Amino acid sequence: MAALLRLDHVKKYFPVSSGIIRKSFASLKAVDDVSFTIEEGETFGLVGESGCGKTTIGKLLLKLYEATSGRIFMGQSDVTRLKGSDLGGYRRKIQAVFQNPYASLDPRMRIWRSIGEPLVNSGWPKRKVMEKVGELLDLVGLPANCGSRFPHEMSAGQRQQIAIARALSVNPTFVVLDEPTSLLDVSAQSSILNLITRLQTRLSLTYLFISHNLQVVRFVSNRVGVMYCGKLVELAESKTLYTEAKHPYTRALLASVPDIDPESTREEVVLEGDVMSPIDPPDGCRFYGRCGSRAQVCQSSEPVMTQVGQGHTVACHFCKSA
Amino acid sequence: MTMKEKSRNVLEVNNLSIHFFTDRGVVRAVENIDFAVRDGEVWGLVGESASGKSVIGQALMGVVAKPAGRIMSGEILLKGEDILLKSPHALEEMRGGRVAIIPQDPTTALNPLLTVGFQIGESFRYHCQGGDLHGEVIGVMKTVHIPAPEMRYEDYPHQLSGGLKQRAIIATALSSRPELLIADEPTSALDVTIQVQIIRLIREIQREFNMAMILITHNLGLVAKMADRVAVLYCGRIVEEAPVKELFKSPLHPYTRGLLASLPRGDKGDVELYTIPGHLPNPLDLPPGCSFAPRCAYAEDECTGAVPGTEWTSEDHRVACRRWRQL
Amino acid sequence: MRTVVGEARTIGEPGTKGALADGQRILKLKKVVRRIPKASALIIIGLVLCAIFAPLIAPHDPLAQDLVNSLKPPFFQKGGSVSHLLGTDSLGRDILSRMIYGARVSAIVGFAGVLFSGLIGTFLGVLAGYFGGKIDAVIMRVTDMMLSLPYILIAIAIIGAIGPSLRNIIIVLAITQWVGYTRIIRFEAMGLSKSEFVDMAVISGSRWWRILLTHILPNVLNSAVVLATLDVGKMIVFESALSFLGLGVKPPTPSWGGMLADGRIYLTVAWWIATLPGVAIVITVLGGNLLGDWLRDELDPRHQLKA
Repeated sequence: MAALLRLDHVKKYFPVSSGIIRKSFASLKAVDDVSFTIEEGETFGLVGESGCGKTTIGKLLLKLYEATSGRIFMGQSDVTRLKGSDLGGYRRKIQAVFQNPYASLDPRMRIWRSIGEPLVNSGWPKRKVMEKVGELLDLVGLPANCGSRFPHEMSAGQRQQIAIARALSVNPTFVVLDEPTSLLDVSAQSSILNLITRLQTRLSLTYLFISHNLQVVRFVSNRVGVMYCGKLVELAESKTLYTEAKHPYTRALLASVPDIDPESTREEVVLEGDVMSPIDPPDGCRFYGRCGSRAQVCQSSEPVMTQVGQGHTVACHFCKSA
Repeated sequence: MTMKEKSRNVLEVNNLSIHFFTDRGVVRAVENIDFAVRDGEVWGLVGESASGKSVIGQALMGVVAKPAGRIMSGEILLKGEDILLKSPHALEEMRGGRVAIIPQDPTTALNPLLTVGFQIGESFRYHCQGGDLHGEVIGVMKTVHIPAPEMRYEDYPHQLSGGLKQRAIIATALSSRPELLIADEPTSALDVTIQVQIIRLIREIQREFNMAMILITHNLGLVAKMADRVAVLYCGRIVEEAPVKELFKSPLHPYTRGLLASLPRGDKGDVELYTIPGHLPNPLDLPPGCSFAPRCAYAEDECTGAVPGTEWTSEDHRVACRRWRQL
Repeated sequence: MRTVVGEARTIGEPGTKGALADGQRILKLKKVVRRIPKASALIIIGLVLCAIFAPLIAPHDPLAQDLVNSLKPPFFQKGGSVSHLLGTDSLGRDILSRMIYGARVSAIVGFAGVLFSGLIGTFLGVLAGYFGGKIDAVIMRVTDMMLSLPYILIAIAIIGAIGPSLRNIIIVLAITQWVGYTRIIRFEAMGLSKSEFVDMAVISGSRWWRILLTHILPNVLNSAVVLATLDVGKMIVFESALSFLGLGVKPPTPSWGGMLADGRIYLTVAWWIATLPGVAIVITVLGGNLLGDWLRDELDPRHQLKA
């Protein structure tokens, strides 16, 4: 499989200022030197807690943010900085579905207009837009007369279906899904997840699936990357990650997944302390403060991603051996 | 319920119905709910949105939104006393005192303009007169494992992380040694590794003080970890109630089964997730008879005729379904 | 924050209750109409009707002088008569007719004034809120400058240059009163610009002008309309002040402010010349403010929960 997208030492820093004079005194290192590839046709899961940078990665790929440094490639072309019609072309190839079904649709616009917005921007005449909207509604499993309704008349699950329809309107090759089911009930969640997987096969889509919910990510992803405080700490095939995770943080995350089998005796890992803030992080390993198996070297030098198995890399001083 | 169990009940709710009268019609948020919470147990109430679970929490605290919300029938007995008959003043004394709540979002539950110590102390001040206020607050902060409590006392909420804020809220709830603790989605606003910490803390505290606790959530995994008994709520009615292990091992109601089957498990490509067909009914226009019938694979004519009554299938397990024996 | 968002607003399978949904909308409209504050609505409607139908309603020609009958009191006072219900002024002109025609001036100034000032203020507020940075800074500094200058001085300067007339009053009001909108609209626009549906619009390839027109402006419209309604009264008062100072509509065109000016010197002998138009101003402004308050409450989404 060819690499559709490649991130190469991407950094995104936000200056943090405070006080009346607004002096910039610190840096929020939302994404700090992250590199990975997303293969064509796969679902790449990106997990982590708040402040880890997963949403920022998504926004960098969507060009809602511009990288502070590093490069992003789509296929062979460098898409790090795009303007004008190049940007327009790029936007047609990569779309998004966000978390909040109540915020991603303009409350004052009828649904067909929301879905058709990307098409209108591409210069489509109204009649063709309406036709395509009808097709898209059918594709996501909504009745055609939804188009003339307003968002507040639809349920949360239906609104996510609409968001998916909108994302697919320009026939993108890549879709960023940022927590698409986190705010949905269990019953809506399962139907949306099914829809997403079905559409991927049918339309040959590549996904970046961002979530904090490990069970969901396992269910949809081919490969998974784990982020902590702006850095990628582990990357592996989904099955491998869930059975042979090496990084202490990954293991803690996996242990936190609620297990509905009350009889199971699974490793209990309770981390002390809080999730590290990416504002002016310390030197050395970001996870040092909460790690159970730390040493002197962890505090002084930052670990880099090293291969520990087939397609499995970890950034930890202790997990070098395969 | 056996007589033995009745005597150990901290909370008993009988035939509770709460309706909301809106411009667009009547919302039957809670219909004929019966349940009891025993001393020292964690009773889980599981439901999706619009199931009525939050309204039940509100009713237990005496804060059902007026004038739209009206308690149509029923009694809520806290150690024998009916809360619904209490005066507003008496309810105030009860709230935060005998009954305390841990709300969902610690950020909005704390006043950003007051120090953490002051807010934790508020409950002490109102419910337990006298004594060394500062010392008591520090004490309860230690109980919830807030590091460096003397320093944190003077901090403002925005200086605390999500996990610490939730601990502060729990400290507030504990300060009056309540008889009943209501936890409404206590971990959903927190990061997952912090959730684990808070779950452990709540369990520890609940055991140490032997408090009865009602856990209201949509998260089945949370219930599996924390609750002793669970009730499943659908459209304002309890459709099933059982001890936790039994509910997950052998669910009887089609809705419960559907919920458990819908949870994602396994790796990619294994199997498509089960989806409960249809969608939640319009709360203004609930289906006749069993509210779940339109979505139920096993529904027959008798199911839409009248609301199914509750049957006890064993000493501790009850179902509101006519056809459970055949399934 | 991960609040579980409620599904309570489902109206069932879309389409199956189509006709019922329309019926529900009509019912909803009826309920809203029932809630409109009757008194203030009547006042504003009365103002508009007087303005439109003045020639039909007014018993006399407002410009007709009748020196024989000058300074006649209203009918309820000794010496008054029914032919001049509210009395006459120093030139014998009928007060009632002048007030009715004066409503024209007030109505035009009121509505045109808020329209133009509202347009300018909302537009600038949206620009400042959406773009931020330098554009925001420039607009805000201009706003601050305008706010620091008393509008009267600017009015005197402009009217002095281009002469007093109804059109010029509206120009003055538009130029000075837009600042009232800018801050509030800017704040709302800032919030909207960060919302997810604007992000989605960007991802969909929408350019900034399209986003402003289709997403930001319609969503600030609520606030702008409320502000405008509350400002109608202010416009009328300002016009009256300007006319009082001689900077307003040229006599003999009747305007409430002008009547106040005329009647000032006669307050002790003929109180009705100044007082009655003054009462008209008060009632109209009150009506406008009450209506504006009601509209603000009505459009506030949190207000929906009332039983």
